[in-house]
Amino acid sequence: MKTALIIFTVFRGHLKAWKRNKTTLFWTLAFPLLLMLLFGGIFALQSDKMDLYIENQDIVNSQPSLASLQIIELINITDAFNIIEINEIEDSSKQRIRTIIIPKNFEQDLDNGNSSIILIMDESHQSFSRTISLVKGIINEINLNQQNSERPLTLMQKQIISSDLSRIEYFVPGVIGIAIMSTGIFGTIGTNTKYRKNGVIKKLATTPLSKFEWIIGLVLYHAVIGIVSAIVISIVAIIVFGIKLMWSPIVIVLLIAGALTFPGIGMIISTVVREEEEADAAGNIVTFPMLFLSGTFFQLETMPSSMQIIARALPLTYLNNGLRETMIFGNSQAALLNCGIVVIIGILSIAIAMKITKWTDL
Amino acid sequence: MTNNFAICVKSLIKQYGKFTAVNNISFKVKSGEIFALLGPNGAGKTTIVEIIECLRKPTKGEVEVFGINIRDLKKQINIKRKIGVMPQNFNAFDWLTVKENLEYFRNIYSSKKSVIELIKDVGLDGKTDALYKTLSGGMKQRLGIAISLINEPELLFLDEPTAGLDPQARRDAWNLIRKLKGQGKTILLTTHYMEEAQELSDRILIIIDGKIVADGSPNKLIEEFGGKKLIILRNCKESLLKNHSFEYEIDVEGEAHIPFDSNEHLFKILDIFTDIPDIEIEIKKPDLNEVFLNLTGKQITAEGLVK
Repeated sequence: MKTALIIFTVFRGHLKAWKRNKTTLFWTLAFPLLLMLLFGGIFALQSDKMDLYIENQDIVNSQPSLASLQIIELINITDAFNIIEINEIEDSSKQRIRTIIIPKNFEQDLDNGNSSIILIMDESHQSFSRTISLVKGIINEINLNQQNSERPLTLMQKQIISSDLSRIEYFVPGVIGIAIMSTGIFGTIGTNTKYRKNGVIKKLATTPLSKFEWIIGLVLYHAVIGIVSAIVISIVAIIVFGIKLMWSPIVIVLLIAGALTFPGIGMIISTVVREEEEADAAGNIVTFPMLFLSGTFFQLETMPSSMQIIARALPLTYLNNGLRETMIFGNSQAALLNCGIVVIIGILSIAIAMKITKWTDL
Repeated sequence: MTNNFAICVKSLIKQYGKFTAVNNISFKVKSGEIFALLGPNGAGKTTIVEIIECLRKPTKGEVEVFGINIRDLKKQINIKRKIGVMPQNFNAFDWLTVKENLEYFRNIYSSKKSVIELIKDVGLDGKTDALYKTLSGGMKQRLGIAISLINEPELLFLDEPTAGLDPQARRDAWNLIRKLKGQGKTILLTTHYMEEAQELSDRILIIIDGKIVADGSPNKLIEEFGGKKLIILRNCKESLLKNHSFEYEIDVEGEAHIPFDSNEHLFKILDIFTDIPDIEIEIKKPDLNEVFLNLTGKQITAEGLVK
């Protein structure tokens, strides 16, 4: 009971200081928001053409039929799609947000007045309605030019669950990850070096306060700050970018696991960094690789394999993956796996921090 | 070692590599007394205090606080519960108020002490809800003393409690320390201010380069090492002095220094010079500055340096 009160006292002390200090408020709330809005804006300014995979099966004498080429040309004229022609539907079709199949004998069926093309797409995707209206417009145009039948060409739809993301959808969980990482590492190193330099740690060391109580109070504080940051970032992302974010208990567990991991790493670094002036440099050495290699800005799969190996050794990778799996895809199973890894790294880092941090090493 | 003392230090040595910060020091602090460690910066005072506070491990020697050996790690918590510490260059949490800082430490000790009462005791009423970072140096020191009292300690460590304070704030702090002594607290005071040690302490341990130079009550030290009392005469022609049998010295500023050792001797000399116009007379008793000068051949500056 006494321990709980002491941990709560440490936690509340940090929280009050956080609320009153504009600098920490900026770095924990405003900075991640600015980062998200800045990159979200950049993504929005980039080409708004949608990727469209086309599988043309209507091949006559090794050549695509004229009718199939005509429909591809009409799609191209809309200037709404980046057309990517493929040969056959692979198992990885799940990775393709939208695919059109022009079936065998399309030209012949069109002449006979009973042809169709197939659109494979996730109906829940935000671009679905725009895609379907564009494709239907093309079909209407073809039908108007056909004399044989009232509706010679029809659209067939095939539903898939897509894992394809817009760049902002990919980025938002990463911003939450960055917020948790930077407050955890910079906050802990900053707090410890400042309090060590101004003598607060020395004063605390003369009291019955234990390392355990100090560190757990700090972790609890970072967990709450992490959850607050994540909620604020989510709300702004939903309002500004209109993306869907799913909150589940796993998100909370991930945020708490992050609040274990990064302050733990911060505590470990604090044992090496003696001066307040060195704190930022030491924090950057650790956070910079994580910032760029943990799948915040770029997908891991797009990196060279050597970089991917490094990325898989970084805790932020698993926090980002876990948040993305649960908040974007609603894939609890994949999120749990990542969550488990973050929890293990978190417990390990806190255990090491408790072992090597010495009150007496002043 | 005996348990009748608040602190027993025996043959204490602390080395950092080849450097010996504390060199074979022994002393005992009685309950209820103000015991001062006096010496220039770097003398080893803070190291000694931090060993007693369980912050540093001694290289050799024994230290007991209330009969508990500080090497017994499991019992260190019992020492920490009984002591109050105001470290050198004390600081508290910048973004917490005076009251919140005191509540923070009260919770750590699970103490029942009234925060408001303590705030009044140290004269910080009116600053209860002020953030620590907005307080003046003197107020911060007073809050430091209040925090060190939050667990109602039997033994109080005040490490340079008035360093950097203006004269008025220093006087206020002294009054507060006297009040604490009146309440029966045992106080281990660390200072480089001679006047502070002399004003407040029952006993003084003079330390230089990690070694004890002298110890005793201020009066005993002054009597033993302070040298003679002096009559200082200004605007006095040397010819007037030559006609008498007492010894004297003329300093560089032309002032005559006449040592005396009894009241009879004092009045006899005063009778000679009192009626001579223009002569200014000052009677100077030795203080700890003379003690330190006589013992070490050096003086401590206001900044705590040796010159």
